[in-house]
Amino acid sequence: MKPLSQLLLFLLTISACSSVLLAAESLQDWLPKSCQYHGEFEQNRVLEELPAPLRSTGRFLFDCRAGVIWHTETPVKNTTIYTSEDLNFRFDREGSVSALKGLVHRGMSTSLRALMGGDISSLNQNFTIVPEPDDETVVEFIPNQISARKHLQKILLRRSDNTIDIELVRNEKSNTAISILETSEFRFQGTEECASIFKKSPLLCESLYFPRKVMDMLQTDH
Amino acid sequence: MKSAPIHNSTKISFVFLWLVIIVFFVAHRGQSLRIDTNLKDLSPQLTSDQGLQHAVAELSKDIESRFTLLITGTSEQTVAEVAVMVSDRLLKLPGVQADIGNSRVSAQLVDSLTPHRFGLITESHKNLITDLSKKELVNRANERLYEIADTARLLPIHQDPLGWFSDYLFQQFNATPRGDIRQPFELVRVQLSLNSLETAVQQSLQSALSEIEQQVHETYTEIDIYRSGVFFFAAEAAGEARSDIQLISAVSVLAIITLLLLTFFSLRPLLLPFVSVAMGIVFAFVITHWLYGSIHILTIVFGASLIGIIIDYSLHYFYCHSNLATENTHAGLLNAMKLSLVSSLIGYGALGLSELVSLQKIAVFSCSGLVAAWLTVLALANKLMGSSVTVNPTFLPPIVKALTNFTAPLALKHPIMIGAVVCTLMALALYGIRGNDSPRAFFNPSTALLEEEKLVAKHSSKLEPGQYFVIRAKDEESLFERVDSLTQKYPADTLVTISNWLLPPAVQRTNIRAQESLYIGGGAIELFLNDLGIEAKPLQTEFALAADKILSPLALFQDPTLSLPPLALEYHGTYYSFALIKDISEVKSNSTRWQDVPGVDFIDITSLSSQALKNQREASARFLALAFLLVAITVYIRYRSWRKLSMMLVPVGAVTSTLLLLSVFGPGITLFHAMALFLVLGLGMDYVIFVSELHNESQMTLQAVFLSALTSLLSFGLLSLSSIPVVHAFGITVLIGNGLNLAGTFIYAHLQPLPQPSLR
Repeated sequence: MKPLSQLLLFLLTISACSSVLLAAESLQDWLPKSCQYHGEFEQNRVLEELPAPLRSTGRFLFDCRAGVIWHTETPVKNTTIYTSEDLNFRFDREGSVSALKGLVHRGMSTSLRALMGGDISSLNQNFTIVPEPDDETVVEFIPNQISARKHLQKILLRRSDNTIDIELVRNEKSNTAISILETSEFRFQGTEECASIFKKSPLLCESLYFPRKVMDMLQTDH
Repeated sequence: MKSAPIHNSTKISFVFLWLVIIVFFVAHRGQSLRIDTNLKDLSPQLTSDQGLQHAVAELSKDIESRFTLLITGTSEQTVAEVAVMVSDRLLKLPGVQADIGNSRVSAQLVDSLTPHRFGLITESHKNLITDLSKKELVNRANERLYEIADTARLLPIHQDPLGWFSDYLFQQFNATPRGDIRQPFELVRVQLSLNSLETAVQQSLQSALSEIEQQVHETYTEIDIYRSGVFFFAAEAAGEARSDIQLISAVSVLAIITLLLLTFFSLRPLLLPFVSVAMGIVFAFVITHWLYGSIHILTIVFGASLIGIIIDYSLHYFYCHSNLATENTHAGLLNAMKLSLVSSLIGYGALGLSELVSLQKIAVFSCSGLVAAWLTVLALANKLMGSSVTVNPTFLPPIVKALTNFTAPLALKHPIMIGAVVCTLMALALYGIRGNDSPRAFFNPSTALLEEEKLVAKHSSKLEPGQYFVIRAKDEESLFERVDSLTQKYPADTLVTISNWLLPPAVQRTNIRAQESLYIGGGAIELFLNDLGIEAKPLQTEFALAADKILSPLALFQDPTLSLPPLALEYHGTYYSFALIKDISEVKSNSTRWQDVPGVDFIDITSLSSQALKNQREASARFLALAFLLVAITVYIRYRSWRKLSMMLVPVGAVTSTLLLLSVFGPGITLFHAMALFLVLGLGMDYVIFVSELHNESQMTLQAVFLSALTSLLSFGLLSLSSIPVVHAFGITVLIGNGLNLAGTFIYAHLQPLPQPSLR
């Protein structure tokens, strides 16, 4: 009986290890291979205290070297820009820009850029990647830092034929589900062209590609 | 040989000693006797300002109660698992609170601040109230709901609709990024509600930690755990002290037994010294414990050095009852014992004049021990010694004879002896007494522990533990004003103050007043919440009571459930706060800026300790001089002869020569070298008094002195090998000083009146 149970344990360990490796390898296939792309998203936020979920739609642009522009179109208009230089900005409905500071934005910037860029090493460093045993289209990311789990219990990545869904789970009753739709490749050729994706002023893309310049400008204005 | 008669007063006093000991142990039955190992007791008061002293002591107590464990490994997941495991195991221990990366403290802090949240908003939020219309504020709140990062609200919408309290907290506690360290790690921060400097606490916690670490390493081979905190340094020092003392005591006792056996060829003579020493130490322990409620392990070590003097009484008693003694020796012995006791009591009593409690305790321990041992020798000698003692003629007598012959040419006239001592004094004056008052001279931590401390500091952005500002003011508002003025003197993020946690009460009130328009019926909050289908009334009711919930720094920092550092405290109507230093280089490069802010003191524990130790060392030197003077007066009263004062030349010469040697060849004179000189005085006086009183039996007396000195030199020679700097300092001083005492006594013996020293 004893050798049998040991064999069983060994097989279980092997299978668990291989599934984690598999999850990490196949994750690369899930995520967009392009380094620069843009697309549309739908966001559905469920908050425990609200009777109805908060639905929004918008556009985004990702550049693995520069960062992310996350532009909400409906029902409100605002834009969040997370850059690789750790300088983050917010544009309100009137297009006025302000700097975003703090641990929350820094953490969100790192996670979102890693997820969108398929940066497995960064994800591995910050999350434990756990495949869903019953559903091979879902992978769970659990924050390694215990203090981070208070604000973000886990991230679920779901793949279907045309979309990738990212679900940020705060707790059992509060989560934010984002569906990435209609992505197209993009090549940066100037801030004007980049801004035309959002039908906004070039300052939006300048914040992504030249964040220090915009930050200096904000500080001078201040 | 006829034994010396025992006086009734001696018998009564001896019975009294026993009564005191019995009453003490009956009163303490079932209770454990407190033996402190806390080296802090040896630290003098840092400042004469009572309030400042209290504030510094409170912060020190807090620092001592905390330690950190750094867990590193190759995988974040494993590190996190181990952190949880270690934290869970620690939480099961009594009096231990463990927290991974401050997550528990942060959660408790949010809970504590939540009732006061209406006053806790940022300046930019307050400006929005005046800059934006009601509709714009509602729009902004709506926009925020859809922002991708709005998942991290600390409170639900119905408690913090605009998210301003969340923003305030994230802004205040923003400055703790994990830096550029790539290796996975977690910090388990531990706070003890027990006294971390107590031996029992240290032993049980150290053993629990070792067990946890062993368990971790058995399961996770790639995990490393590093330790940081005063607790570990104190535990290491106490552990070393214990093992050192046990080893030294054992070797010392064995060596003395061998010496006595070689001298007397019998076990019987061992009885009196050991009974008197035991009686002296037990009685000293009882008296000190009774007076101070506990006894420090170093008090026992230093006090136990009394053995050197106590054993003299027994040894002289043996020689006076040996085959070497004559009929008229007894009277001289009793006189010598009396004078020796009085001079030793004066020497040790002078130590009690020190402000340092540890020195006072040593004085009490020593004086009570001496009296008890002295009485024991007188009361029990006849019973314990039995018939006459025979001295082994082949062991000590030839050595003493050789030494007598060797010192004879040095035994010149008194003026020459005086000249020699004066020359030593002049050399000392010329060279100067080189003091060493660095606290590091008393602290010898292992390199491994220091390396671990540095590593943890690198991972935890630690604050300077020994350097900070203390700010005082007459009320809380002024305290904040001064704290903020000080903060502005240095670059941003240099200091951590109460302002990192809290807004001044006046600002909280202003903030609440500024938000009234938002919370009144029909205001932006009601509009926003109603749009979301949330009832605004409960929040509006809570806001109406907000003005009564202004949070004071004292209430926050003295809240026992929060385990925050005591950054705000009150002492006799004055408010104190600390500005802890993140980046000491900024403070050092702008070293005088703080002086522009009233009510601010810069505390540098190392330099303050140095100054305090220097003061104590100098005071000890003055007390030593006073002790010499008092002993000289006693000698004069006893002999009524100025000439007899020349016996003082022996301890004076020994003390000054020791000072000179230690200043020239040693690391400098510390407070504990100075303390040991009191014993050099006591031993030196002891020897010359016996030589003087028993000059008719000088060769016999010199043998007793030589045997006594050998026991002292053995004990202190061993103490000088100790790895504990304080014990080493004590040992080396007495070793040198008493060696010189012995040499001086032999020379002094040649100067005694007839009969001249000769071999019997």
